[in-house]
Amino acid sequence: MDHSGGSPVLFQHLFWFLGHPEVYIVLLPALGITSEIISTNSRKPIFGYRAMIGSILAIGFLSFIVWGHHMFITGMNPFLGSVFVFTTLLIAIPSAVKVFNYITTLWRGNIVLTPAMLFSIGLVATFIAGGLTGIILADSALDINVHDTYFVVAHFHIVMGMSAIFGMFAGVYHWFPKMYGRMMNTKMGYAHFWVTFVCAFGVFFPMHFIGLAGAPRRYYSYSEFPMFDGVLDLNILVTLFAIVGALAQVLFTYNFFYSVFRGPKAVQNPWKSNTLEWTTPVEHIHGNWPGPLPVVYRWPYDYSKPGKAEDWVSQITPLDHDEEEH
Amino acid sequence: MGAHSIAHADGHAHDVHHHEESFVSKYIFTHDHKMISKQFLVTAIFMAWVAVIMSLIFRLQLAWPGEGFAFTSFFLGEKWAPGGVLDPNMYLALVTIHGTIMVFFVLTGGLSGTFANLLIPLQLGARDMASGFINMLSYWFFFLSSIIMLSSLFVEGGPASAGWTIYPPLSALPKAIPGSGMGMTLWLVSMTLFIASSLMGGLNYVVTIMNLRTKGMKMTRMPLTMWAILLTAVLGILSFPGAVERSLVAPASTARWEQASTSVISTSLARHWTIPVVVPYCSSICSGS
Repeated sequence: MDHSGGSPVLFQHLFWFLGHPEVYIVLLPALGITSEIISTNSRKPIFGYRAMIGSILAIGFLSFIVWGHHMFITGMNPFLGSVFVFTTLLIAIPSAVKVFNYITTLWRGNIVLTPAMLFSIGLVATFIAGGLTGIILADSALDINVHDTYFVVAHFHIVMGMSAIFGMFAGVYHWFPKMYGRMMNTKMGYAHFWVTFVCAFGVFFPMHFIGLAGAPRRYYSYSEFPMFDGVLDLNILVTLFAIVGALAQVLFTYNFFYSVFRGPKAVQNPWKSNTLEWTTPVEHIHGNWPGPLPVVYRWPYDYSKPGKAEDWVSQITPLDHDEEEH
Repeated sequence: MGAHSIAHADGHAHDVHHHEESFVSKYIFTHDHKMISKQFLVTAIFMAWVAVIMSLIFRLQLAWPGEGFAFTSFFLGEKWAPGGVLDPNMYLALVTIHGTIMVFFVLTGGLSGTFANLLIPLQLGARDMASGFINMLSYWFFFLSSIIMLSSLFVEGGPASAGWTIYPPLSALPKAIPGSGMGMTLWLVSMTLFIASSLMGGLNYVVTIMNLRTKGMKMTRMPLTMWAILLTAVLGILSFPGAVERSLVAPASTARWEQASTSVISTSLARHWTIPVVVPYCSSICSGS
């Protein structure tokens, strides 16, 4: 490439070589947070710990060999397109393993519906809903029909946007006591979740139909095109849900900043969780632990372990002489 | 069952009665991972609100095209919303910056920056991150890139408008649309700083997870949050240098810097900065030197 031109298609290759792993850079932390919160609040060990790790590794690897599915209409060789279809569909397997494990962790659990838990379950819902349309978009024969339409906008907002946002909210509600030494208001948290959850689907679910009607994304106005008259009412509905959803975030912001300064004081381990962060003092200190560093004797998911007096066992509790780790 | 006080066999009691920190060293240029996580979170909340307001403005246009709104006028003024009606060029700009902020500044920097910094030392039993200084730099690069991205809203031609994917030619030809000029240049500068921030954070996360786990914290005893953050950091380290190349070289190789020689400089920057600087840094801290 000389220094006066350049290849727009090469640019797209470079962009999406980052761009698709970026999807998982956004998603994986949210999924990790969800794993922790679902196990803690189901009072059950995470189902398939090693499978979850394997899934993370598989998703990480596959995320680097699927970028071409963003470029099916750039004129790429159809055979190359079919390779990207195959690799993209493969990524559904570890993703489905994770979803299956979340549901089986919840199954017959002693579920505690904290706001963090609701957002985590909400993440599982959006991950399924957005993942299903991902299978459609992974298939080049289907993708070229809806490429650059609102169907794509709906897909990535649900699977990547809402899932990651829900994971982030879940993390904030769950670790707020560790960050600020205070508790957030639970009732406002519930209201925040339900309004956000309903509005998320209210905004993005109709967009699938707007996309299937052929409406391209990034258009300033659809009223100039008679064939899109049918989507105008849907656009009003979407906007109304967006306004209400935004108001719910005012509630969250108020709850967050009010609780930072005025929330009730937190106890050391409010969720009866096993992981090490809950063994540190509520007040932040330099170096995290006042004495020597803790020693770990077990995995972090010993919830409701038979033979134990309580339904949680901290990672720093030594194994009994006849106890197997897990 | 309370927290057990089981001593690390070869650990040392930590002196909690350390010297009093100044306001600046405690809250601003702090090396403490817990405070840095709060800095990331609060910055991300602010950036999220900017993105939400942008989305409301363009959603109003999509629902009621051509109608004026005081809300739109309040935020954009007469230049970009005459009579409260959103200008078409600003519509493209809002869509672009909304996507950019949400993907990078909220869900990448905000999410990973907050929870990686908070949880890695606390869940692995470490005093802090491997390098508190690099951690601090990571946040301030993030902050600076946020400021530059927001400042692009106030330049004459408006911010970048080529979509968050900044495909050429809209990103490459400075006169393609109003947002292709200074707004696009600021977008590229902002993203380059953001990527530097992410690389510094990611390297720190990987090194801390690999080297600073407390006694007994085998990899198979790590919470899944740690596995997720570890893989996230690895993905970022592997993919973001390509994005620097893309940010600096691809648009720069056409008319953005107007002179071919400048393109050579930016090519050199990408090749001679990312590879000889980042890779040895990574290997040196991974080996503990």
